[in-house]
Amino acid sequence: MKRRSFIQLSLYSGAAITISFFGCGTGSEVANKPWVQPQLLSHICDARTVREIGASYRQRFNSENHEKQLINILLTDSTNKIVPLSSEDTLINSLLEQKIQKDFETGNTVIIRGWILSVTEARQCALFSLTKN
Amino acid sequence: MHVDARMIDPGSLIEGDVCIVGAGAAGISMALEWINAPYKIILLEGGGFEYDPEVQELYAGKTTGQPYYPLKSARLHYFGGTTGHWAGFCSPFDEVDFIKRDWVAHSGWPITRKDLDPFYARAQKIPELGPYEYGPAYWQQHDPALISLPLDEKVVWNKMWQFSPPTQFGVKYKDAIVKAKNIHLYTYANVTDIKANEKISSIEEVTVKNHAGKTHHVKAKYFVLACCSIQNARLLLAANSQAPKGLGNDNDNVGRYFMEHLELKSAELHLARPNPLKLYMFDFGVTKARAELAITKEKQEEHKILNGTVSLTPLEFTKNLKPMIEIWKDDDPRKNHDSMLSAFQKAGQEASSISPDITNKSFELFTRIEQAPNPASRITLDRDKDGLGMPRAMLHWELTAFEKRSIRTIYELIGQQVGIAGIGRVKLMEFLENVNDNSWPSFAGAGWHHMGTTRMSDDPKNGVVDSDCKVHGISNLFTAGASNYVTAAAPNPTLTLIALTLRLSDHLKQRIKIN
Repeated sequence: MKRRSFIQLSLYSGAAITISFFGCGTGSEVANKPWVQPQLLSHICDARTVREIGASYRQRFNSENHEKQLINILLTDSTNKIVPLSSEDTLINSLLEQKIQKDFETGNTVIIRGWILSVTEARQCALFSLTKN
Repeated sequence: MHVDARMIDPGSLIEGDVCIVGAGAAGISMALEWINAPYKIILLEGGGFEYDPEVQELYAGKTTGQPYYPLKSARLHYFGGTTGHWAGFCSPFDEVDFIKRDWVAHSGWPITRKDLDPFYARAQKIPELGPYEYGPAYWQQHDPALISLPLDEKVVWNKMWQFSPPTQFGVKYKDAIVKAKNIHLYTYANVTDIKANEKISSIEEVTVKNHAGKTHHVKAKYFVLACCSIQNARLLLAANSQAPKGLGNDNDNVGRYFMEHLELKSAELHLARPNPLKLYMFDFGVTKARAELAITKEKQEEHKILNGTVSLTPLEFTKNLKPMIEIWKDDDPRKNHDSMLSAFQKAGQEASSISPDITNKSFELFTRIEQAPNPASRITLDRDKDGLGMPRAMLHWELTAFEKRSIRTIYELIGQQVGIAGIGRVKLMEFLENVNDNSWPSFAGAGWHHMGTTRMSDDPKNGVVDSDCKVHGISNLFTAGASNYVTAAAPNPTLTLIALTLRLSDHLKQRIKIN
């Protein structure tokens, strides 16, 4: 795995560390949203690896190979409601964290390029690969 | 006392109460138990006190099936046996390893872990281990830095290993054996034949030979074959002048169910934050105990998988390390050992300059797993003979898709638990990604752990020895060592084979007293 040389570390809530991948957006409306990139995975993979995981996911699950569809799936909460895109980033981050946790707890995982991932974070990778060059 | 069998008159008749064939971990452990007992013990060792190329050559043999190390260099043939260069890894088998598992064909020992527990406790001393404590809590009390990964213990648990210094039995116990008045150690005494009575119901004598051209005979009340799984099977199969299929082989079980521990790098653990994971690290000659990740019995049953464990090593170290199957290629075990040590040293040096923030973030996950007992995985005799006229051993090592599925499942479970804990992610190696691919990568290796060729069963149809390690149908012939194993479990076999040998020793003492 290649080491990141282009990451930024910042502190959230005094405890959690978030890493943002810099890169050019594709003009997508979510390109600059922090929740597009899987947070924990961003601590251990570089942007290229995340993109490769995302591309592999889209190739395997071709029916999800659309930005809008991925956004809708990602933003659907446990009551099947779609959280508005305009919501606070922290709210969406929190939703995604909960979904990832639940994925692992319920075995809703997928193996992409060897990585054992929550389906939600694999979809984040897919969205990332569509929105970040 | 010690006698060099090359120096005594040819055709000598040696007599004793118990004849132990082989002075490796099992043979020496047994002999130590009989020091000062009112019995004469004959301990036969094929080699001398030092490595001898001519003697080592007797272990040469062909292998087929899954690629394996050269047989000649997979064992050491001198006093002390392979403890002459072992790494000292010790851990008891789990309860699940002994039970009949309906998802593992041919599993189920006629004894339980509970039966072996007192012998495990006694066995600890021989390889100079610590107290009989294999729970992490004990070790954590002594070193609070030994912190467990926060994984659900109902799925993944910490199986502890203890490390022998490592004790070289040939060095440590030479004086005790040689000075013991009732232990008669014969070096350069290779058993080449076993003679039974007319009914083949008891053994009368064994024939020993050496390269000096001397042939001697040994008579005893009891005979114990303790020369490792390949040689125990080879001896029984080659003793075919009276029993055409070999001794103890009426049911064609001798040599079958050869087992090894499949050992290979399988995945990576990447942590979100650096953590030295001291509980799981091993530093040769320093670490007294460490944990490996293991899957609970309940989860093994639920997923119908084999028992295996996962060790963790910084990726920055292992990425510079060649697989053992590529290092251990020479026929000379000394050269292989040197190559291995130099590979470890080089990898260590290269990793030492890396910052702990990096080293403590990514770990190689290395599997050690039992192989399913498989009758097709076996030792047979070659037509080719060694320098003393014995047919050479041939190994056909065979793995199945079961082992691969088990490994994959183990990592899926660990990957899931790591995800739940939110500490990082697990990445499988490419060979595990495709569920339909049953092939093995070129770096798949083994632990030099030979097990299971005279497996234990109370039913002669299913095994070679009974629960007392006595060969079925032969009243005074026993086998000691890992050849008796019914299943291989995950741990290195030495501690269990010592425990089993102590148990056999107690049994023989009772028996000899009664008779």
